[in-house]
Amino acid sequence: MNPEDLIHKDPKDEVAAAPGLAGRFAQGATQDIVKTILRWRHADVRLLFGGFVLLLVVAARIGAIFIDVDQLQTYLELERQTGFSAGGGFQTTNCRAVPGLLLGNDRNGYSLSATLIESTQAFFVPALISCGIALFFGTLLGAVAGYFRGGILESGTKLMMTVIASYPRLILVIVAVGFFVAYLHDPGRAVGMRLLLMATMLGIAYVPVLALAIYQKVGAFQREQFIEAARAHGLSDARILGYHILWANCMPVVARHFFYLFGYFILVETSLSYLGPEYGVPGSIPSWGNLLAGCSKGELFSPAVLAPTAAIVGSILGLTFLGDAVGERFERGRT
Amino acid sequence: MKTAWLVGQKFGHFVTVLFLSSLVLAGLLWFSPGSPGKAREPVIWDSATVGDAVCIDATTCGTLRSLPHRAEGDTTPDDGFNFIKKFVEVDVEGSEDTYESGAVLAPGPSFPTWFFGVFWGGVLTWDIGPAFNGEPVLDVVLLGATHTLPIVFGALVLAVLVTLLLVAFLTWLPFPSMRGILRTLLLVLSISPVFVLGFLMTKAGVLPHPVLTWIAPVACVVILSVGDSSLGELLLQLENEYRRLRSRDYIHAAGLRGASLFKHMLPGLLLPLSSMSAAKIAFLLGSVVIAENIYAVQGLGTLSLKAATKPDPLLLLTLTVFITFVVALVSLVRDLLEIFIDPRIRRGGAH
Repeated sequence: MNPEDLIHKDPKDEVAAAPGLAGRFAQGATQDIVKTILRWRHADVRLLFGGFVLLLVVAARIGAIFIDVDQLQTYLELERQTGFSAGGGFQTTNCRAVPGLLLGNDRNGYSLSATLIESTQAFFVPALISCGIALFFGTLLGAVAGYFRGGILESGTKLMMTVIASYPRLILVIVAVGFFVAYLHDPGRAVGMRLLLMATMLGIAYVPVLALAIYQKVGAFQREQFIEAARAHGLSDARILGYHILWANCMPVVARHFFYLFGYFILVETSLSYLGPEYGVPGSIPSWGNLLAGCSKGELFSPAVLAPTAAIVGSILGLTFLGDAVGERFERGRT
Repeated sequence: MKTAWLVGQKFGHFVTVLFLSSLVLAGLLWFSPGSPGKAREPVIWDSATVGDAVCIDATTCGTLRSLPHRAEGDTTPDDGFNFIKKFVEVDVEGSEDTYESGAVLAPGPSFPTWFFGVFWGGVLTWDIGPAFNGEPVLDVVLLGATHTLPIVFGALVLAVLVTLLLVAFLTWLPFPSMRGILRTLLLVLSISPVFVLGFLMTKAGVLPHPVLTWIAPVACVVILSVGDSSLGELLLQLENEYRRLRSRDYIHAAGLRGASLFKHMLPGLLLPLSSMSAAKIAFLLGSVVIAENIYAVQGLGTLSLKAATKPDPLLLLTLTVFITFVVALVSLVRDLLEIFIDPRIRRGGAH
């Protein structure tokens, strides 16, 4: 320890001697900022990154309302207007950098940056629906099984969860969506129904994960003194379970799984759209998955390949980090 | 006796889960637009009799009132060269109408007949029927399994081995900040979807496409062991388990005595490792659909996609029940391992 630290300093002297903003920078405020950043825990960095990604996704979804892909300028129109020509046929003019279009154009010749924003429509609302289904049923079943232990309610719920968990999630979605779409006369027109089915199946498939987390949490809280006290005060089971356990103590778990599932939905939707229009969204609707598949013959280090890849990986990573950070930050001290 | 009872319980649970999962999936297929209970096949008139149930479209059925006959006044000679239209009378909800015999369909099976008779009866007699390509369903599924199961278990083994090495390296690394950066980089790599990894590796020329040699399954194993958070989740869980175990008193004592830490920690790591692996199998069996499709491997994943789009409900049901069987079997093996490894479970002190 520095011997000077042992000398008593009057805080008033420090306030009186505090320099202005310019002086603080001169005295090394930058160093303080760097020190502060270095002191950040991993959870803080993840929270910041995840929050930024979430903001981007939400902003893109709002921006997508004002974008109509059919109204976008295609590369060929741009070529006519500007006189710029890369030569070659239609194939060589797509999925490449184009002057005047940020990130170049996509598989159909439209602006890639605008199509990337438009693509958020393929997953945003369905992911919210999926999260709603999983959170409602997962919380309900986990809470009931965890609170009313030792009875048929617990064993029945656990058996039901084991049965659902025994299906691989992706297989369940493919079975439902593929089988449903195969019987449609015009699969391209049932986009909403297809995404709704995907959201529902993924939500149901995720229920056991959240139910197990809530089940363990509720079980742990049941032995806490404040729950015993609430029982002694004559509060009803519904109030103890609904307010004192779920609302007051399990919200971070629910929030964490919300972000995990949101990210997982993006993974499933883009994976299925990459596989083909029979499984994900139809080819006429932009999705990060089919944007990547559409430019699969493009160069590796071109925006047409790197931008959808970065969008997919970045959003899944950000949402997972956000889930982790929310869990670490808000669950600490509650258990 | 206690152990035998526990093992019996686990087997009972395994059979119950398998049966219920097949029932739920069959119900899902039954109530879908492509329900196998709908009428699809034309009536075989040689064996038809008046009073049989027949359908005029996929869902509207009634009673047959007459066998096929010519239209009144049709005198075309039936010498085998003329195409002669024949008609039947069908009573649908009290209203009798005439329909062309070729358009009348035989009713589909009822749910119990289809589920218990065709599917489970077929499984027990080893003859479920033909798939969309004419081959027996069970042969198609088993052939697919010979491709898929080595890929999935290979990916699991590779992921576990790499994770163990990484955990050893990360715990040895003397710089905590470096450890954090390395861990984050690994998580970023691992969180990439399987199709993105496959795509990028193919584009970069690391794994060629299309390939029909042994490289295709190896490529699937590599991307499955890393992508969709496989490696990342295992790494985080195993590192936590390692740290938890490392802080236990008996491990400290073993270290002070100069005994082998590996030998003392291995039994403690085996149980969580088996639980993690069992949980990962279901996930890998889902992701393998994407990996097989990218590298054109004719396994269970590719078959599932084909069965869903053809569509072939019986093959789809058989495939999914087989996959569920594998998942439930792995869970059973994990439970049995726990019973035999952990004496507390045998004494009834845990679980």
